[in-house]
Amino acid sequence: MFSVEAKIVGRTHCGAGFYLLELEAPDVSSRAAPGQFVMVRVGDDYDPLLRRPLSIHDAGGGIIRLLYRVVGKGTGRLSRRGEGERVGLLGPLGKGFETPPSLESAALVAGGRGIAPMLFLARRIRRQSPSARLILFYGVRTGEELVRLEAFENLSVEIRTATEDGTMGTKGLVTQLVRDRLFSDAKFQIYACGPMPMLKALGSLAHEHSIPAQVSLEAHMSCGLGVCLGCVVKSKDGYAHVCRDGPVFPLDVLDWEDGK
Amino acid sequence: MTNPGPVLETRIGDLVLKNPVMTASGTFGYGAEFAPYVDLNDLGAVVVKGISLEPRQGNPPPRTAETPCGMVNAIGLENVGLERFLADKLPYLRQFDVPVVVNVLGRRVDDYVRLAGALSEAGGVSAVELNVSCPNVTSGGQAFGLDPEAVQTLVAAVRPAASIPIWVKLTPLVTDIVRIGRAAQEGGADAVCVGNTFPALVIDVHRRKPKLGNVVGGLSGPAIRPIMVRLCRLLACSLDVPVIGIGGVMCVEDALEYLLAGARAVQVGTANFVEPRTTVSIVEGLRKYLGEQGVTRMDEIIGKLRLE
Repeated sequence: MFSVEAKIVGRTHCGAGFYLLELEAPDVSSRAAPGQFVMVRVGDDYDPLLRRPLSIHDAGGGIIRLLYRVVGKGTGRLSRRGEGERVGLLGPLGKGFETPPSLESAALVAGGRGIAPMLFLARRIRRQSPSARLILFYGVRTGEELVRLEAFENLSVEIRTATEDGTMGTKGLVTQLVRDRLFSDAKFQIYACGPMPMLKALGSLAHEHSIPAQVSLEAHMSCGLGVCLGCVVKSKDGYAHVCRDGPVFPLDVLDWEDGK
Repeated sequence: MTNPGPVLETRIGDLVLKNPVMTASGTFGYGAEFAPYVDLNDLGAVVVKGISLEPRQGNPPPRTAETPCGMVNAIGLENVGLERFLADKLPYLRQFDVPVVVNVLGRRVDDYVRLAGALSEAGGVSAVELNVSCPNVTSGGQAFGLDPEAVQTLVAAVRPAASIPIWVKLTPLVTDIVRIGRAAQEGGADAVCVGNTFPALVIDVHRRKPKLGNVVGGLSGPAIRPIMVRLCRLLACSLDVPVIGIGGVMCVEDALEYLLAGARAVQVGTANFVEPRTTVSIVEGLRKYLGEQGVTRMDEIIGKLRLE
């Protein structure tokens, strides 16, 4: 875990308020694992006060890539930081995805900005299991929110998209796409990141078909280090801390009873 | 001989701190979490997350909400409990040359007595900090902290059980903080800490719901600092026991405000979340400041606010 002032070496608007931020951070980059996150200080004053937790979109060659969507004051501020400026970066933090040394096929399921950790994961699986079949199931509200598809294509990931308004891909929810697929082939390992209702639906699906699934959760975090104890989620053994026990959890340890 | 440079040492009663910068309870875990970023030996003291007799699982989420220059939390005193603290957490801290202060909280007077007794006997604990001010749980001690008689009774009851110094962490939201501080002193406290967070409410107007699962929480961060500096000065001018300043210390200038107002030390809280190396940067900054001011000891700064 490192605390560094990372130089912005790239900043691209990907559409629909999504930004790809490239940071020079050799220590963080060489230690990072898919599913882990960094805490980003968006400015050097105290409003917003806290760092923002962003999952690692990709890492390598001394660079950390973050893909985020502008949703509020913190991400808005970050989107206005330009190339050559430095931002405080803390990480890599948390427990990432577990990837078996050789994998036959994997389903990467992303809802909205849940696409962020999937690229680094796909890259890792591709490296470990060059012939693995990788399918990205990617759901958004409307077509323009589908971002970074070409990066997945470059890793020979098959892409299935769903939009709620039907502007691209199948009309409907991504979980339906997964369900249709799983009936014909249940050998997948599932990796997922997205809104809670999506993960919950996926949870019952995975349970029904006895498919191992790992999910990456999003939470408001103050420290990212396991000390403020703010980012809890209900697990079957009481509260778990998203920053330290996660953000990736085996789906079956989470307690979905009250939807939290 | 080379110039040794300014001496940052400060005393809280009989306890000597190598510098006046400590961590605030609940913002530094049990120390180990910050070891990748901070050499714990460089701190004045480590104040660990509040401990209760039994483990507590804390409040339902969401537990924190950000506000302008601040944050509101309602963690609900989640902690591992006394037994696991002594078995799993304290041994790690004993390896360092740094005083360990344990914040304790209870439902009844007897809980505080038992906690202080056990921590005194454990070895390696330099002081207990009685939490009489958590706003977030019904048993968080705030019922004690609002009432001078209850504070005095509590401290007096803990006194014979504790062979180590007793600090009392006060709530800032009282009509007359000096009365509460005096009550702690009369009860036998070795120091008072001012203070805990301010009770606060943040509302999500779109959902018309509170932003915290616990509805209300405690406000911390730079937003509260000027209020706390004033309370700190009121206490420092009125009490014989040392005062420890807490609230929104983000940098060396902030720490100096408390020290000039009369605090013998400060605790750094929320800033640990923003920048994990805040404490050690402040220590460095103090050394530089003393040099610039041409003084050699902390005592030449503490309480030396100029009023003319």
